[in-house]
Amino acid sequence: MKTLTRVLNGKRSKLGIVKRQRRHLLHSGMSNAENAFDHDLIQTSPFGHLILKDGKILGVNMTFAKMVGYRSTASLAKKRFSTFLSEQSQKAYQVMMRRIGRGERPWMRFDLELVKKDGGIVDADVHIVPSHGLSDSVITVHCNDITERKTLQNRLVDSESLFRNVVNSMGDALIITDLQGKVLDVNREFERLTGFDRTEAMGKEIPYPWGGELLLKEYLSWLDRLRKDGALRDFDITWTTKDGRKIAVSLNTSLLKSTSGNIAAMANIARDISERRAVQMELKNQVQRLEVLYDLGRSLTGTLDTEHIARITYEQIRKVVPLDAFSLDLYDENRKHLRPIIWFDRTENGVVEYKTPTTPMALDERPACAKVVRERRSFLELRTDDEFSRSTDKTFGNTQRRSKSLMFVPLFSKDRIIGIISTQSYEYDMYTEEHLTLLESIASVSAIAFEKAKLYQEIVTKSLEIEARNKELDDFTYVVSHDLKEPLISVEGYSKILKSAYIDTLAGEGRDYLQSIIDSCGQMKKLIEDLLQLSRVSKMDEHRHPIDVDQLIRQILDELEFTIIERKAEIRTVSSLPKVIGVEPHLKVVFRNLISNAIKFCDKSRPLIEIGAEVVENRAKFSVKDNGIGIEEKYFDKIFMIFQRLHQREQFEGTGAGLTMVKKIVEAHGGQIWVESDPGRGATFYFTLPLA
Amino acid sequence: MSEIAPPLRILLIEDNQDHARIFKWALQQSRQPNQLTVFQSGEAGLEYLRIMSHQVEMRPDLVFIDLNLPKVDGREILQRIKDDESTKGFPVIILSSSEREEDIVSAYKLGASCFISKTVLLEDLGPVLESIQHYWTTIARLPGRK
Repeated sequence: MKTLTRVLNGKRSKLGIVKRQRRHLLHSGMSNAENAFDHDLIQTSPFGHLILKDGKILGVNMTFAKMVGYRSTASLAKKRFSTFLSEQSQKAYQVMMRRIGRGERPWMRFDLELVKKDGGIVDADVHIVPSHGLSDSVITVHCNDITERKTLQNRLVDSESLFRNVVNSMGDALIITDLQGKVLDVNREFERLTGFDRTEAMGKEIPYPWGGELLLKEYLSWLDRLRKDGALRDFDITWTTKDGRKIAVSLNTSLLKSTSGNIAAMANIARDISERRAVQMELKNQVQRLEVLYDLGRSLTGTLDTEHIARITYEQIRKVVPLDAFSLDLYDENRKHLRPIIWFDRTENGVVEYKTPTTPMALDERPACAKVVRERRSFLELRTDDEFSRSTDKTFGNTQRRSKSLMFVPLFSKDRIIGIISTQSYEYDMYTEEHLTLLESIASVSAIAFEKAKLYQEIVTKSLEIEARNKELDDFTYVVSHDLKEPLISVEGYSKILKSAYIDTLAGEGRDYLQSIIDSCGQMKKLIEDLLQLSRVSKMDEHRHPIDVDQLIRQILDELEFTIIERKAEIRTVSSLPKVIGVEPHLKVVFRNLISNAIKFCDKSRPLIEIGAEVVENRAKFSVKDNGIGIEEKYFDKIFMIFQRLHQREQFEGTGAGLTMVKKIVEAHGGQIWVESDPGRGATFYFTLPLA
Repeated sequence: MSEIAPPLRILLIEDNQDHARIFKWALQQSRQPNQLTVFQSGEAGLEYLRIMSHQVEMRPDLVFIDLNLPKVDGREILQRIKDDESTKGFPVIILSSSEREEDIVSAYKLGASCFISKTVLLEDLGPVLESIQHYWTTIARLPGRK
């Protein structure tokens, strides 16, 4: 048994002994061989052992039986070994057997696939040993189940290719270098990104052909940091591709350690951030532009001064448009004049503001502006020809430099050009269409402000004019009234002297005439007084206060008490009239004139006057209704005109200034007055006043 | 019985000769004796006042000034009278054909003793002036008069 064990252990040094033993064994017949397999050592060997004769199993141990899925060795006896081999393995086995048949004695070791009873495959490391000098047909077979090892091996192969795949399918470029930066490997994204092949990249040292900005010195300090921190995050650099393009990459580096813990290599993951950076830049630009437009709009709401608007506009443009020179001129379409507002120019001393000419410039003097006006649109020049160079030289101060890139943008108000903004640079190709669009946006915002300022100026000028004219008119009225008064006083004075001292010398009619002169003087004095009062209403220099109209009416009725009793008039008012804002003495004139008119122009024996009020559209609407003679519709406007009388003086007293006064006061309070009437039955005056 | 008072000396500065004549007529109607001197220009009137200020027996007791005088107007004359130490003691009555509030206010501010509208004066020609004269001679006390 000992000898067989040695054989099966396959020790060549013991071969001689084995030969002798085998000879003995075979001579002693199969039973001996089977007996030999009965030995515990054989049965419990971790290897499968078989003896074949003419390919048939002569002896087998339990380990092999188990390997191929049998519970005992007995059922394997006399079976062909090849029946336990897969189709693929059978071929290899047959080739081997043929070589043995030809008398070769190879030491053969194969990986074969054993087929289990249930059809399963077992990978086995198989040693086939011919029996030297014994019998050509007898061989020993030793099998080792390597399924597990095989699986591991396969897995290893798989994971390696998997790793390669992963690395190649990465969206980021990967460069593995040694600690000196020598490239050990790169992935496919690296090839795509830089245009350098893997073969070109391998073995490259610093400076890399794609390295761009990364200098050796920087690289070393970077390496120091890397050693200290163990990793480096988001290190932004610029690479140069094989075809010379610049690309922005963000580098993340980590140290790779071997199993022993030593740093073995560096993995650099480079992400192409050109696009991201472009998007970021674009976003930043957009935000800045929005901010500029927002700031501009906000700043401009606060000003109505042309020069201030121009300055705010310049300050905002400067933030987003590169410029060496700037001009803003307002344009007068009718006169074809440009009025320079601000001019800036860059000199050796920085940006200098030029004092703009105070006199307007003819459009023809400024060819670039003329082009804008002619074509009614902005334009962009990136390589100006001499014509514009000269024109801009003339535009801007005393710099010797000539603008090479320039933009001219009109300020539009509706479809009129009201001004022109220009930004210029001393460099070629400084501007893009985006700059032009942005400048146009800014121009549209600032045009509104300029237009607003202009309208405001016009309004201010107009209202000053109106104010001055009103004052003139009132002064005129005052002076005229006063001058009229002087001779009137003389006439009245002399008449009174005549009446007092010389009445006896006048006969009959003469005395009547004298009295008429005196009466006319009184009448004229009244007219002049009314005129004077009227000239003072429009000034409204008195302060406005909340006024209790109920109380005001009570005061007026007290003052008119005598007339009311005399005429047996009845005055009805609603319980509480709305309070209004106004100048009290003036509003008193309004109510008193209307009430006394209502009593005066009444042919009934009992005048009835009703005073009412309602609130309409946040204003107090008053009404004074009478049952008097009424007014024909064709006179509705005429009654409010000064000194217009519809009746003879003998019929109704008055100068005809009362309603004019009322209308002027109501309008000075921002109200309106009108009349409705049914001739013969009465009239109603309506007027509105601001509520308190 | 009180002894007969000397006539009240009145100076009138009035460019409108008609107004001056009517004023004079009205004064003549007064039962109280008076003596009127008229100057058509403010400057002449002012000069007269300066000279007369030292003549206790001859100086005016009351000065009437028309507000609207040509060249140097009544306000200016009033101010000069009140600024001059020798003339500031004269009581000045402003006569005006206007009744503008600011005219009235400014007259008193400048030191006028009284503001009278010519219109009021005309209402009842003689008696109004007489009551003014009565006020100054009987109710009020004037310097240099008992």
